[in-house]
Amino acid sequence: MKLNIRRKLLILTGALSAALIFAAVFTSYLTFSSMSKNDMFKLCETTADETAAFLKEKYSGFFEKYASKIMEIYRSNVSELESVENPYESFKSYEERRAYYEQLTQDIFPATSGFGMSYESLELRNNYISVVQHLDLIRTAEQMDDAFIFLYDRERGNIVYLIDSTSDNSLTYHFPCSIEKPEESYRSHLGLPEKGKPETFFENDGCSSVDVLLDAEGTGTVYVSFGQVDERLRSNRKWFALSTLFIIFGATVVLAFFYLLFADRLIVRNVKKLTRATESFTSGLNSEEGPRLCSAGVDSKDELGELSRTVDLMQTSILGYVDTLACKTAEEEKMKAELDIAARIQREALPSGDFETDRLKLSSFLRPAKEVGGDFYDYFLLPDGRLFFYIADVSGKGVPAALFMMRSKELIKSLAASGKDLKTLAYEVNNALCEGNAEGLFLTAFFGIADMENGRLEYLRAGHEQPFLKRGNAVTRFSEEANFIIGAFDETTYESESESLAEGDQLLFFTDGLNEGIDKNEEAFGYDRIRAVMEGPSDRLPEKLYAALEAFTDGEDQFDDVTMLCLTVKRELHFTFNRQSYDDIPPVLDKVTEVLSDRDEDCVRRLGVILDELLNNCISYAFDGNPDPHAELIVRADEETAFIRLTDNGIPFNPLEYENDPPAEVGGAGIGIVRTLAEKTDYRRKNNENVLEIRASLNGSGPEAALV
Amino acid sequence: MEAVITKEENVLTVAPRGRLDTVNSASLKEDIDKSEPKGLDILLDFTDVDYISSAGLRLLVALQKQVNETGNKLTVKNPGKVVREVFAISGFNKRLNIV
Repeated sequence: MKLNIRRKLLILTGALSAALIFAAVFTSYLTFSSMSKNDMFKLCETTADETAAFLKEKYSGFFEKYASKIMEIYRSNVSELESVENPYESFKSYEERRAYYEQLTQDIFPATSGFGMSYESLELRNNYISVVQHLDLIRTAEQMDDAFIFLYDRERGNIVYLIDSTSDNSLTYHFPCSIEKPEESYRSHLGLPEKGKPETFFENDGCSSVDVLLDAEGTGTVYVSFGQVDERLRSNRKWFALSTLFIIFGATVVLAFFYLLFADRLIVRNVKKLTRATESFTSGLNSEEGPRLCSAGVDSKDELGELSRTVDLMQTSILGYVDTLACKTAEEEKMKAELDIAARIQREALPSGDFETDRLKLSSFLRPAKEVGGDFYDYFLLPDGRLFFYIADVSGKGVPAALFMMRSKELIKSLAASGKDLKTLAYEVNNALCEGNAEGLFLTAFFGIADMENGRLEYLRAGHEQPFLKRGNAVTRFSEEANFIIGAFDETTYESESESLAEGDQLLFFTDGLNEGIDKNEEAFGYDRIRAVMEGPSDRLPEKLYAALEAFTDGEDQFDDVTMLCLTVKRELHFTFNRQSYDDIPPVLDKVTEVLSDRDEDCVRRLGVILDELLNNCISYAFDGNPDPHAELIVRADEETAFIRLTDNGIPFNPLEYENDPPAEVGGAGIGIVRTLAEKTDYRRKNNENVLEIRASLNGSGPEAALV
Repeated sequence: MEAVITKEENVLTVAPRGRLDTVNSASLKEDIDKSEPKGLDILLDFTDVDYISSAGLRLLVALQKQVNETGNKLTVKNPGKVVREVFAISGFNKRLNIV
């Protein structure tokens, strides 16, 4: 069962009321009991006292005579009386007992009345009647249950009744001269005459008060006794208890009802209001419409009113907070979107893909970290045909690094394009970047200018990682000599160096995002792993390095940009043909096979087929009937592709046009084979020469489609 | 052109090595002709052939015609990947008996 406040209040009030009723009734009952007992005691005592005084004054003579007469009769009949009165059952009925005592006391109260009686008897009888009437009057007036006068035979312990005021017709009526042997406890109260005050005491069944009327030799001690039985008291108490219970119960129920009504109005209703308000506010928070203020509206001046106002205040605060949060979230999203755009602009500011000249190939690679990073690079041909390139890394990350990078990039580009040498370029870039660089940002960079006229690379290393060089199968690094970083101190001077370039050389420039990529054990990728990858097959080197890095870090976050530039010096073969002889073909094929011996065998074979077809074609047709036959063949190979250019001075002839012709004779099939095996074919007539350019893959898997 | 040529009952087995290009194909043709292939089946073992150009294909056409005259068979055995590519491109894989 759910015990809500209302139920709890009900139970509590009920229990408290019951306890209260019980306590009140019980206490009142006890008080009433003790008071009424006391009253009873006093009433008995006063009645006995006053009556004794009155009787002594008015009837002392009578009592003397009457008591001595009864005493006389008692003394002469004591043994018979003791036997008939104990028990009463010796008499069959009231009448029988009455007859017995009338007989016994006939001397005192003769049966005849009126004129036959002596004056003495008459007086005694009249006094007797008046005392009885008197006692009866007092007994009735004072609500006594019994009132009688008796003698006490102290020797035998017998009470001898003189007068009984009750007009009782029961067998126990105390006829004059009837006796009774009272209990020891009662006898102890029958004190001596000099006490002068009634002896009042409680017996088993009520309260009695006895007082001495007379004490004489002949009569013994005469007592008057009044008594009230408990029965009266008990019925009084019962009535009192019932009426008290009824009144207190009624009062308590009425009070409890009003209390509950008041508590309900004051507490339960307000608590419910508060609960409803809070519930609807909470559901508002989770709904699509959004939260709104739900006031409980408890305006009482007590704690619940206080709580209600506090809840209102809390809701207002929450609403404010929710608003602020929404604004902040929107702002953050906007900022994040802007940062994403910034990162994209930054990346797009960098050239991508491969850059090629006749002799060189430069591949770039950039995998940005999650945050906007500071890696950048650039390359372009200088007006004199040399290739200018650099790779750089701005210290720090985020927007400051990105802005610094953009500034640096534009600066370097304009200085390099104006033909400055590397020393001057670095010097001026450094000075320019030092200006207004409060953030203390700087960059490390490797600048290079490759000149294929003399096969040299001029370079300047400013605090940047030294590149790897792969020549043949050997992988080495550039010298550790480095210039200072750029952007830290102005007026720094820089020195450039140079290195010779050979055909087939492969140079790897990179930023520390590569060698400092860490795995879950915080171990860095390191230079040895770069070297190991470079010692393997050399095509698509940046991709291979990045794949190795990813395998190494195994899902760990990439903290820094990974940037690489790979410069390849193409291998170049030149052949000249001046006669119409097929014998010039095998040396070409042999040389190409030899130079490209480290490449994929099947790719080199396909290149052989292409070259054989082209040369066969040239010698067969271009040289046919040509008085001064001349042809030149250039084969250039980088790590991924081979480039073939065949120039001849024959009559204008584009073999590629015959591609789709059905091979009337087998010779026509050659061009089809070339078209299929090559990646790209191109023919043009230039300076009275046929120029045929073919590009073939050096790491592909061949024309799979042709094998279907 | 280096080629191992063996004659056994009525089968002439030719096993050239290296390229079947313009020059080599001509010399291989001469070598085969010297072995008097007339009336024999010809088995070309291409296991050691690096590649074949259209000149080589011409040789195959000539040999095919030659065996056709006497009702003999020409079989190309075990060609390499690039050779098969050239056969496929030129449609020879549909005309030649390749095993």
